[in-house]
Amino acid sequence: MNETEIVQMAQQGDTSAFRQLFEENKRRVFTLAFQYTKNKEDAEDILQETFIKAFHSLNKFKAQDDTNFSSWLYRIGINASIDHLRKNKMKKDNYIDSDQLPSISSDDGFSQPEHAIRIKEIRTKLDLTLSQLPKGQRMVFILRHYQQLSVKEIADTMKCSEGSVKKQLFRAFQMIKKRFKSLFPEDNYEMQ
Amino acid sequence: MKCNKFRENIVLDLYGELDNKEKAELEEHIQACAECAKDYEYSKSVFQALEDAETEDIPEPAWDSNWGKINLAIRDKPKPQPLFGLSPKWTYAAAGVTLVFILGIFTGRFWLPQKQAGPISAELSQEYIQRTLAQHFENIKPVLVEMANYTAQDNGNGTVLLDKAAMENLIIQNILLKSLISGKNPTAVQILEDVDLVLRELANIDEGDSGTKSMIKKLIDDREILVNMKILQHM
Ligand SMILES: [Zn+2]
Repeated sequence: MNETEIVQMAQQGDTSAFRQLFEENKRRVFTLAFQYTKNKEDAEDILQETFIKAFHSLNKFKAQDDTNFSSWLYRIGINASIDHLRKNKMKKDNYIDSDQLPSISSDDGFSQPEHAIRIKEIRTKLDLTLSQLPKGQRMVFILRHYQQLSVKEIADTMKCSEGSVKKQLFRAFQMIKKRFKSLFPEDNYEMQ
Repeated sequence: MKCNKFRENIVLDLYGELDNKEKAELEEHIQACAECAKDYEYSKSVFQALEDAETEDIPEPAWDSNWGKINLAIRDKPKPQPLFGLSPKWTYAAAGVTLVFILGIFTGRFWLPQKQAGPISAELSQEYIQRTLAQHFENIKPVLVEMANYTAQDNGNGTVLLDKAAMENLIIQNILLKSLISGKNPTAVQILEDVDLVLRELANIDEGDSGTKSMIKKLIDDREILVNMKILQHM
């Protein structure tokens, strides 16, 4: 049975067909939600919200050449992620204050623990930076950097222009560059 | 082109979003502009740092419990079901609707005032009534079987999404049949009366109402409706 047939059954209220759609799409939606929120409970809430919303607007979905069910659902997941943060302000305690982290020099090879600490430092700094970005920029960065959607795909999914996606990706990356300066202490790079 | 535009293209280049022409222009500019060259090198270092730190573990949620919550939420408020485009089970009920229409023509004719009083079924052949009754039982059976197999643990799982309009049609058909056979077949009348009780309960039930569903299951069991239907169909 192909996706279109499963969707049609779900549209007729067949919940076992809808469960099949859940099974096939759950991981992609959850991963996006987790990368966006960096919190398992929030991501699970978003996962549920996405599928509940999808079920109730299932009759509005029409398979077209450019939209299959998965990308339609993905769009609902993106909006649910952004809306979720609007409802529950990002919990500050999810993030370690970057000042508390040891500053690691990057000028020579790392021993294993040092390498692990540096990776942790990069991730923490990135999470902290992303959490402070405007929501649109944050989502564009997640979609391009982690989900590896092209600028065009992001524009289609978020229903905006490619120019606007490019601008938001640039701004997000500029902010990361600015915040990462302390990770490259030997570099006297100055931002514009 | 100004440096600002190249700064944007430096980032887009890292993500492979520049076409050949843009890429060539950027390379040419970097050769000539020290500031942009510096930004390019630093951007590459940051991008590499992100790549190095990328393999972050995505936690594994309890999928079943998440589905359970979704299932509960979508069952609480069942989607209004269109009468057509029903799930396979409900094609039975939809077939019943047609049957009601046919029955309506027949019974309507007999109910006309100019016809002399008498049992409604007087002029309907016994064979026709048997066939209609058998068809009616076939229409109702999937609903009854589903309810008879109901357990409180699987509330929601696999149970029919109740379509009110189809259910009402089954009730009407049930009433019509009852008047057709009244006085002729007491066993069948008794079954139809029991079925009537079940259908009326089902027509008013809300999805997720496990108490009523258990009650209906008990009704079907206690009155042995399915068994009686089977016996009657083989008489
Ligand atoms: Zn320049």
